[in-house]
Amino acid sequence: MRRLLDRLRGSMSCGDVLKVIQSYIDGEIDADTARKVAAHLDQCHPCTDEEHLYAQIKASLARRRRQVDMDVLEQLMSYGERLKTEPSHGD
Amino acid sequence: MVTLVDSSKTTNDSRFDDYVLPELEVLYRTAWSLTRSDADAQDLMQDTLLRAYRSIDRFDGRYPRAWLLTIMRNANINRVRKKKPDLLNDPDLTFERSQDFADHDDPEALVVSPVLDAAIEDAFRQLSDDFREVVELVDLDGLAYQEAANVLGIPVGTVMSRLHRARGRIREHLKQTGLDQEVRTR
Repeated sequence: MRRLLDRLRGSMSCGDVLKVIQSYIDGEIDADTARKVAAHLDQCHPCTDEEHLYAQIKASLARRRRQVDMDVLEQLMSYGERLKTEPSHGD
Repeated sequence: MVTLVDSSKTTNDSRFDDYVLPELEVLYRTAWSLTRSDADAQDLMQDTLLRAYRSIDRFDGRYPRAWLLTIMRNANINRVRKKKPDLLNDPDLTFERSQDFADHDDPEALVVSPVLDAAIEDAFRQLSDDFREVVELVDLDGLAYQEAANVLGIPVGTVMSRLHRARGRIREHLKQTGLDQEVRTR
């Protein structure tokens, strides 16, 4: 009944939200769907828990993100500069 | 005639500066994920930059990162087939794992539990190569779904499916260890 009411109101059910919750966290859904998900999360505690859990997983994984050594970046930058100055590279 | 050639080269150099050089950091992270070695990542980067420079005049200027990642994918296929000499290899230059917190809008997210991190790390390591690969590209390297699809040469739907299932397994691992409650009650 709740699902039917959600559909009639144009809002999303818990099942609909859980299907897209990871894409929502990743910023990979369209603005209209994102608004509907946000509206649902505002009034649904269990779905908010799920959102929080996946957001924590993503944040924890992001903390393992590799930092590129500045010396490596500088070497790559100078390689890029050399490409522009050495005629054979433009073949 | 000489002026025309010089003008074209100047334009290409400028496009290279605008489209390619700002992506070096993301590209290098991705190269490392693909090769798992500093030396090979640097070799792959050189190939990618060289190919990008040679084809910059044919690039339409839209989605430079996606264009570069496709070039990297092709360069990597070539690299695997035939290893080239390292031109940039320096054993002293290594990746460092960041201990910094990831950017997040929610201050609560900065409440970091070492136990939770360890459990997530443990579950991450248990993932199959296919699953771990997409998690690395999206969550560690910061690529969008379509960008990860370009690197791997697979449909974006497959990236999404593997990523969501991978995180779902991590979630299940947390549930089995009871750590999901710690997150939920924060």
